[in-house]
Amino acid sequence: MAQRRMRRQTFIYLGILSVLAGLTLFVLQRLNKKDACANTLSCSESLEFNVNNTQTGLFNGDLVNPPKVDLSLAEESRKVLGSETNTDKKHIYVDLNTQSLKAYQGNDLFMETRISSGKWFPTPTGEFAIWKKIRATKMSGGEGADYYYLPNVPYVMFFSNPQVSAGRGFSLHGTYWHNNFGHAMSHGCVNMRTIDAKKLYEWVNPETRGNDTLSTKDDPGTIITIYGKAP
Amino acid sequence: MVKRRNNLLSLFTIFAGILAAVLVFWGAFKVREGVKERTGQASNSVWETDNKATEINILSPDGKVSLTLKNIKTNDGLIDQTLLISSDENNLTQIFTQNSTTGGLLTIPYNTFSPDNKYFFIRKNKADEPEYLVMRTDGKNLRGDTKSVEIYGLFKEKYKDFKITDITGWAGPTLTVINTDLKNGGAGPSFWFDLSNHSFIRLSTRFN
Repeated sequence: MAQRRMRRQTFIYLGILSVLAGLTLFVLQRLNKKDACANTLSCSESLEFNVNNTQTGLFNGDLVNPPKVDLSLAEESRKVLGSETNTDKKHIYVDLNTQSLKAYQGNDLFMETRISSGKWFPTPTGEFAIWKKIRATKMSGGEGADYYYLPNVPYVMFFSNPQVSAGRGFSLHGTYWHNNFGHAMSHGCVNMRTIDAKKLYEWVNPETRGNDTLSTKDDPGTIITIYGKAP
Repeated sequence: MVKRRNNLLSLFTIFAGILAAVLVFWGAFKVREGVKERTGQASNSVWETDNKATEINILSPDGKVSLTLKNIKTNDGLIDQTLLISSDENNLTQIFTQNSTTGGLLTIPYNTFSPDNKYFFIRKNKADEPEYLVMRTDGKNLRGDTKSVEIYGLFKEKYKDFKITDITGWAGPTLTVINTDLKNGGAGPSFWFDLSNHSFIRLSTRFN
């Protein structure tokens, strides 16, 4: 009788423990997903300016040749653009439903183009501000057949908000490894054609200062609104 | 009374444990449902009533190469179409030309260029089903004596249950992205066509 009681109590305790363990695992898994970096392997490295004109990249199991980055051209581009005359507020809208981007200055449409948002990990939605832009960096992540290593990713504009921290490295950037814009393709970032990313990079705030530009109180980053859901 | 309560408590604990385990696995293996695929061409000819010629120009994603499609309406109602490539290295190279009725017109998809600008693909809008032609941007032969490969023809031979709804672009330097429907109805899987060996790779995820 006493043995049976003990067995029952043990059974109950084991049951309670398994419930708690299951719930803990569930919560931890959700938290991990929520705080994952856009580039899971290069996480913090991707936030720094980096150029390597000798490495080969890898994407979808294919070798890809990154574009060579000529930093002297950037200076020439800035000289040609000069200072802006339109001082209206800039705003970027990314529509995940249609995989498109529109950039406005006041009511004037500056740019409209197709993008590729997150396929393997969703691009976060909400209102963000550009906190940093860098001329090029390397990005790496995924695993197995999905592993990617991409040097010289060009014209990177990092964005964040209180829910999506800067350290997670979500950005708009140029793309040299696929050409399937208008369809979700990325690991969370907003992929753009390189010519579009360059044009946007030179237009957004903070105003470009060198190859690595942080937003400041006097020069806050352009606001980006990302909405909808990728098909 | 106590015995019944203990039994109920045991049952509740077992149920809660199973529910928690199910939630964990559901969170880990959640599968996204497919949605209706969008089709569409990035560029279409617009005929002016007084103009006999139109021109469409698509830039490569890095801006270094452009593909031009020139359409000239002849007096007998046919349309002469010519594809030209211009790049930093070559001024203007004629890649392809054809005479066609309006039912078999060429159009240039938005994502026509491969990411490395070595290849491009075009769509030929025939009455029954389209053709998708891949060519080299330098105008050289793609394989052996042929300048192009036609993807739909190769696909039909291999996959009789599916029809191509659209080829949307490039997943890599030699991989085109193909979306399909089932011939009996319903969305089909996505494929890659690998230009390097003319093979098809069926994908577990759909590129809507």
